[in-house]
Amino acid sequence: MRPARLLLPLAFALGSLSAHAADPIKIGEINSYTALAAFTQPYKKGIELALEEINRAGGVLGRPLTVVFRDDGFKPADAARHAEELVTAEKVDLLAGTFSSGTGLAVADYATRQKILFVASEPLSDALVWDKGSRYVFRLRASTAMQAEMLAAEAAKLPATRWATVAPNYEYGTAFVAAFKQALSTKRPDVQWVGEQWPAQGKLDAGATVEGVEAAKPQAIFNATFGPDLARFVKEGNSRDLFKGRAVVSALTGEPEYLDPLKDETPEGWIVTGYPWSQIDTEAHRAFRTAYEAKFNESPRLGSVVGYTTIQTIAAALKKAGSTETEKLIAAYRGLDFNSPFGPAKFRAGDHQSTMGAFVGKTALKDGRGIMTDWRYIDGASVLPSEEEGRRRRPAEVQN
Amino acid sequence: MIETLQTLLFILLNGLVSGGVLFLIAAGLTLIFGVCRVVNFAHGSLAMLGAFTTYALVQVVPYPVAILGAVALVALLGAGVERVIIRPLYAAPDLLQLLATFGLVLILQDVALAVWGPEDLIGPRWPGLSGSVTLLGRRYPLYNLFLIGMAALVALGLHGLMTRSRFGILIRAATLDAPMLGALGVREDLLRTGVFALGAGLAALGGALLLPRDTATLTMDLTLVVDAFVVVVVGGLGSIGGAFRAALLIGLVQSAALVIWPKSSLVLPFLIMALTLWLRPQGLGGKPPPPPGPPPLADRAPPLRPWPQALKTGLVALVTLLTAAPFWLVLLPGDWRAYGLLLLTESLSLGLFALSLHWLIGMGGLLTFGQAAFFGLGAYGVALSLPPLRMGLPEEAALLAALLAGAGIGGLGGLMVGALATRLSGVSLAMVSLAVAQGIWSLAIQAKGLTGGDDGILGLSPRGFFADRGHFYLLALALTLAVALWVRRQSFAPGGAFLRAMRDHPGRAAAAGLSLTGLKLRAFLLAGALAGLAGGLTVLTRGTAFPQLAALGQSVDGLVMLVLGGQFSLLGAFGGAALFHTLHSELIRATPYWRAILGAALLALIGARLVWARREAR
Repeated sequence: MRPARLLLPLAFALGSLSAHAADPIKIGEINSYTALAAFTQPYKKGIELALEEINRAGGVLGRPLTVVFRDDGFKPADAARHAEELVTAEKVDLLAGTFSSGTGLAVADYATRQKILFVASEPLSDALVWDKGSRYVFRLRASTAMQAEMLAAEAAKLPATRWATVAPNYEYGTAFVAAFKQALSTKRPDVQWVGEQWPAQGKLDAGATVEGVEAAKPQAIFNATFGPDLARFVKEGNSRDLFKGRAVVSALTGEPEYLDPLKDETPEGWIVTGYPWSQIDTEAHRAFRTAYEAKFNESPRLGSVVGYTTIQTIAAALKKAGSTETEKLIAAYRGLDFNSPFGPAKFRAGDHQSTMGAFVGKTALKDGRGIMTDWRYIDGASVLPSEEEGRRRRPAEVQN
Repeated sequence: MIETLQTLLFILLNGLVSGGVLFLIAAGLTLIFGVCRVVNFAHGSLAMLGAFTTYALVQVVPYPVAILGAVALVALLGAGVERVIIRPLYAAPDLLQLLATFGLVLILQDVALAVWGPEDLIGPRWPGLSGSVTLLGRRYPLYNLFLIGMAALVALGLHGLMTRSRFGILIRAATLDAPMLGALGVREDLLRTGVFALGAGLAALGGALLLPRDTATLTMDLTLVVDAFVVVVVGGLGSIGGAFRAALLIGLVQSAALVIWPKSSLVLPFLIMALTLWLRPQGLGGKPPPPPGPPPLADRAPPLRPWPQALKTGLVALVTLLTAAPFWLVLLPGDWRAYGLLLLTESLSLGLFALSLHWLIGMGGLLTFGQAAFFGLGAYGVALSLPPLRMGLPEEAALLAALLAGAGIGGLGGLMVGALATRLSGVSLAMVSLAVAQGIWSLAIQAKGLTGGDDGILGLSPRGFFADRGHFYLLALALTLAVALWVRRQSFAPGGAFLRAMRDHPGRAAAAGLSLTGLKLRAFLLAGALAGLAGGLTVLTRGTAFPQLAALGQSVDGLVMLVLGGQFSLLGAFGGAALFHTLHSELIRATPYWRAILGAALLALIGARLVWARREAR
């Protein structure tokens, strides 16, 4: 008897085991856990909190929910490779996560080919839902275009007409600058774009970048750098009075993951998108914050909200679908109403973008650290094109 | 007028700051290379440790004390590293030294991760130096001026040390002729430990001085060491004066260019390097290389023999087993077919990649640290040619034509580097190939219109017959087999024999009338084509192409595979690739600290090979 014959019954036995009803529903979660830890570590904690809440309440469809984590190191090829491993070896039911537009698009490409659901939690790229949109991909965060629209609305109120831009030299940066330019120029045709700086992501040369902006003599600056690059830029800019007498509009800077490290260097009066976690006093946010602080003994960051909400929407979709089948999940995600710590929102059926919004406000210094003031929540739906328009921006084959 | 003057002055100052920082990091690297002839890949990691240690110390003591403490600690660590890891490797091939220090990079990265956590640590400002001064009516940070001063001080100090002190005289003597120094009764081992400690201390100083205006991050190790490589290569290997001039040149050009051409931030240093090497291959301060002599004993390769009959039988059995993989994988418990075929297909393409290194390093003795350049070129060759080929040809023919195009472009890249390499050998060649690869990687990110930048090129998975993983695997297997057997024949053909002759004794090979230039060019052409084919297969396996395929990590992975399997053996290349890839994939699944484990495994492996080589020699 050949060994293969011996293996065959064993394979059958194991195969039947795996279909057991109390087996957990598996989510494959890929993110830049080491390369962008400031955001992704709180994000992971948000996921753990959501899992705890859901499983304590008995799981979904009578099965517990588990997440298998993979670190993509900010590398798209690795992210796609993890996706394949998660699907073929770990046999996850759906994919979630990713940070950069590159990793997001890479996983989306794999998910589309393998016909498996991918909930893109954090990548901001507009391509993900529009010109490279896919039937199998849904995106949670307020995108580049949405945040650019929010910021441009504030920027248009400023008297400044000469603008310079600073953004990291990769897809996120170039897309954000393009979206902001378009949005502001539409509202204010008199605006001139006098200079742009494209430092390499994570390698911003502070002296040269500040010099480049200064040399353009702008009245206002749009910034899209974040993390260590932002810190370098702000430090150098502060000591060279780059921001004195100039308005600054800055993407993501109000997010605690990027604002907190600036401490007493926090520039005042920047118009930013972010997350004023200590000041939001809605019931939904209070409940989330209390639970998070009780579990981890630290305050939530924006990543926490994104991770938490991602898992909550997945649970909601599973419940609505009554199944883990991809097609049923897609049907459930289309038009899915969900509750986030920011309030109720939904996934649009037309372009698979959620309407979860963002906070826009101004930076200020209080007791030696940065906070957001004059902030307000802007509903994602108010800065998105109509669902019909969103659908039209998608490739023809996924418009239905 | 005053505005132009302002801009010029500030460009000058910024250039001096960036150049000063570059010099601080690169000085130690070039010093260590000069005396120990070791390229210390962990130099950036030492600088990173300097920054992190300073960050920890500055919480309790003032900055100057913290920096001195960090420098002392890291210098001590450097001395320990030299004693334990580097010393046994002085007689070993360059490749092993490079890989050992790379193993150290992996370990130190995880040590820093475990101690300081994954978050970026923003350095507090230096009290007393946090203000700014007014120059021509504009503000400039005092700390930047301090940095320029420190860089100048270190340069002067090193100059004084080298010209005035006995230690410096010994260092210079060791750089010129180390064995003679030993024969004269100088304790060469102590000198080397001292130089390594000094170099490590300089790295730590560079990292520490960055902190007050910068951030301590876990990714700064590779960023810094690659920057330092460029400076050291442009300056001439082992030349401190050259490194100083190179750092200033790069700093100033970069500072000016960023104002005029902001998007050049990634490519610029490599452009400067290519230009310098084109005009002056030995770098700004380097001396022309000595005429080629015999390589050290440890480098000498075993003679190439035909495979014994038993091995051939075994290989036939293995190939049969591999051909049947799509069938027996199904029978394994837990549905392994899809993932197993993925692992096998990837192992085959990586095997081809390792084969390209085997040809260059094992057969030609041409050390390269930038093989990812050809891998990436092949990858983009396939990614860019497949869509138009699909328009005119049936899918299956288009796939094959695209793979051919990938191999061709990889080969062309090989010719390019080969042309640069004709006047270089050993570590200089490795550094130059590394820099070329970094340049191609930067271009892949920057040339968005062509490559899609970081978003890559998607939608490249095979359609039609080869869409099935099993079918595609069999195609890859057939291609790999054909290519591997052909390469095996080539190594016995006259061309291969000439190549081995050049490897074993370049001087005699030249005297016998062989054209070393032609041999190098041909070796690079073949290796480039092989790596290009491997890159192309990888792209088709994954369905995507990203700049990462041309990045440093890819080159290093290839070298690890080669060392795992043994650089002189064709079968070793494939075995090493399969072993490394499986291990790597499973480690990543199992633990977040896979880098440290991999690094430790690398060191253990190198140790084992040394012991083995010593026993062979006895």
